[in-house]
Amino acid sequence: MKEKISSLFDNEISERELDSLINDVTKKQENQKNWMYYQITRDVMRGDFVSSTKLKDKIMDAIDAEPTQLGGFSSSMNSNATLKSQFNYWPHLFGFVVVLGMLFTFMNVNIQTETAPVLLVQDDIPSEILSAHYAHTASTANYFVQTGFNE
Amino acid sequence: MNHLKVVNQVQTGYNKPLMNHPSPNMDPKPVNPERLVDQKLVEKAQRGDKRAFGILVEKYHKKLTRLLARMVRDQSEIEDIVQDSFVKAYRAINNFRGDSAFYTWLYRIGINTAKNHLVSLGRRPKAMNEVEIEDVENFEDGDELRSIETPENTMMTKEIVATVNDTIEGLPDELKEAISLREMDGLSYEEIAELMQCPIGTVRSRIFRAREAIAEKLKPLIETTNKRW
Repeated sequence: MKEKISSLFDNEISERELDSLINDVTKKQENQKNWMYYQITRDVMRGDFVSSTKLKDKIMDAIDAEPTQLGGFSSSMNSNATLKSQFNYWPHLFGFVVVLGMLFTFMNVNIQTETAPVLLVQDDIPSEILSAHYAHTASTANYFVQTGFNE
Repeated sequence: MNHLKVVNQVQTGYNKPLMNHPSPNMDPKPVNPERLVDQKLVEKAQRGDKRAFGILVEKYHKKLTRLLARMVRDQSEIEDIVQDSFVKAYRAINNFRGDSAFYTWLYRIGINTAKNHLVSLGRRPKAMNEVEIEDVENFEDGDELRSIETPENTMMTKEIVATVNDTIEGLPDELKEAISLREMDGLSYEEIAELMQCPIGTVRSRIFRAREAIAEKLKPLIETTNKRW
């Protein structure tokens, strides 16, 4: 694995291995250290080395203090992923609408069930009393007749 | 070194696309290179991986420092501008679309940050034309490098340079030659294999073994001074 990371440092790696190797470098501290030693070796051999550990630490401290960036743009290969992720909203939306519809239907059935007994009361009332009742009501607001009305 | 003469006869070029050199010994579909690796690191940073951005910091902070030393002379100012530039780059990382190389994008941020810094101090920025900005990939300038050295880190620099050079001197010849061809002459593995008359896998292994030997010597020096580890 370390040998492959050395190859990655030289950009001498096949594309199919690239993602997993980059993951290995970013996830394992040991690999990050090796990457730094490789960079130092290169800088020294090319005559460009200046010790700047503190500067790098300062930069990384400042980056760590920043809010983590999430969900950015990623070139062409990610445009498909973005499209796919937008498309993935539809099943959730559809499910939500179905659940809402079922809930609405269930509530309607309950309302109808609760109003039915009021009509049943009407069957037990003598017709002359009902006629007298309707004659004195201005509207259908008194439709809910109390059972005590018979007494 | 003897190999340098031979190398000069071979077409060298550190950034030459490797796809132009198909070989039965190479892995299929080798990628070029630096830009693709950087793009992958940027994508990871865009998904919230700060350590991926840390690799980019590791890779480019010295180069950016040297570049900005052409515009600003004061060491502490340069370091502040480099730090600000990386923070700005991180904040804007989601806007990076890969239309240019990451380092070109980063250097533009660095140059603008330096210009703004100088203007805010009432100083006139040194001119840096577009050609220079576009050419940052090849920017190497030892004079600027020396100008940013401070007494504080000079001793550390000397110690590290001596450690690396001594370790290379002590390496077996085949490891020394492989790492030198790679790092000093910028040859690809295929070109090194051709020069050393060995398979690419052997080149890969020799370079790795040389690096490991150097890393072993560097560890005690670096890890005592690096507070992040």
